[in-house]
Amino acid sequence: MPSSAHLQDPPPHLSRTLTQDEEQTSLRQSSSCGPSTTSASASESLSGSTKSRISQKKLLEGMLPKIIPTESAAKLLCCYAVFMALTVVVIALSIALSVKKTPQISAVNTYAACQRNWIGFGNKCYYFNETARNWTFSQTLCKEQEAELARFDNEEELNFLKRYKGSSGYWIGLHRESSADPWKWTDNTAYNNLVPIKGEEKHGFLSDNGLSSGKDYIKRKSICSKLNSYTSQCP
Amino acid sequence: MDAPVLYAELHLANTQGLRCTSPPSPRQDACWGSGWHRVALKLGCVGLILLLMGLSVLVGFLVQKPPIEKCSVAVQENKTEPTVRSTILECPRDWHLHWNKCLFISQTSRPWAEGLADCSLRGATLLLIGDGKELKLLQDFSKGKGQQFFIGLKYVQEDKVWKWMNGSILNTNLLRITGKNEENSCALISHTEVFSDSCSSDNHWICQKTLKRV
Repeated sequence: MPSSAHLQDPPPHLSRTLTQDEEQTSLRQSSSCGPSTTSASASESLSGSTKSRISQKKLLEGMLPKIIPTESAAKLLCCYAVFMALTVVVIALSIALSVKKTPQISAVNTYAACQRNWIGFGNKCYYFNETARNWTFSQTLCKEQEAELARFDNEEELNFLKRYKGSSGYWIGLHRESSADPWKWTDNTAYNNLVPIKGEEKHGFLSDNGLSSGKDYIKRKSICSKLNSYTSQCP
Repeated sequence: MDAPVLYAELHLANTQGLRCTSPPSPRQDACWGSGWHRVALKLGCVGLILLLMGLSVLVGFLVQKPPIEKCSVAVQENKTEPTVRSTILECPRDWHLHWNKCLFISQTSRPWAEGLADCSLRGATLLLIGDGKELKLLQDFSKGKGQQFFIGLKYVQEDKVWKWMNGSILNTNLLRITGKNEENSCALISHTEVFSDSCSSDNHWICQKTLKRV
């Protein structure tokens, strides 16, 4: 009887194990060869694989936040560096342009208003005629260019004319009715006697020895002058 | 034998639970990080583009040079004619051999009387013109210099004639004086004609001395 009882015991165990495997996973169904030994090995292998999977997942979870911030940090640093470099360059260029524009503007104020071949000095433009003509014809030529025979209002302007003209004599805008009358400019304003005019004639010219006077029909080079309208508009 | 089996079942259930919880957490982290990074990258790109545009504009301004009309006038050229010399006939330094005379051209302008005095100091006299050929040569000389010059010819009010400094009277067939014949008038030679100018006027002058054999 006991032997028969022992033989009857294994079948219910086997049946229980099979039902559990079927209910849970197909792996257990495949491992239904050995009775007790097979079930033990199956449970052990399953637990091992599960543990390894869990550990891998944990590693991944740990790695992801570490890796992503590092890469993004590097990229961000690169971006910041490029940003800073470009910003510095733009600021430098702005400063350079602002500095360069200033002298250009002043240069324009100084020279832009005088026509080609005219020379700007102070608030006037001057033109030096190199062809010799009499005083009256010289004045006519100046008027054709909306100017007059040259006028100077101070010593600086006179010194400029002297320095620029060289050694020839040049008609300028001074004249008088007779050797006893005062000198006048071509617009009939009085000459301020800044420098005395030598000679006894009625028409003034600039020699290399200062101001002199000669007969109006003598042919000489001449100087025209007119106001620099641009400068006068913006004093 | 039943008890160990039950324990195993419990462990499996726990494992499945972990599986369920672990996937969403890294995904959430990834989503959060990637979203932030994308926004940052977009902003960075926009900023870079703006900076590059600004840079190109500034470079354009810098390279572009506003045209300023330069005032340039040809400098007056001083042409000096070479001195003609020979072993037989020779002029002093700074004098020009001309025909059979040595001529000196003043470098400054002065009234006629001062020119006369200057020539005397140099052992010479203001220029005298003897004939038409000499006049033509001197006028060409004057043209080359771009100047006009006092010469040794002056109007004498008492006699109402032009006289040379050597005392001879001007032959009006030789040369004609342009201008007024009046007191204190002196002759001024240009490249086209001879004028009567005021003796008090500033002009260059020409001295002459007779050539001597060396």
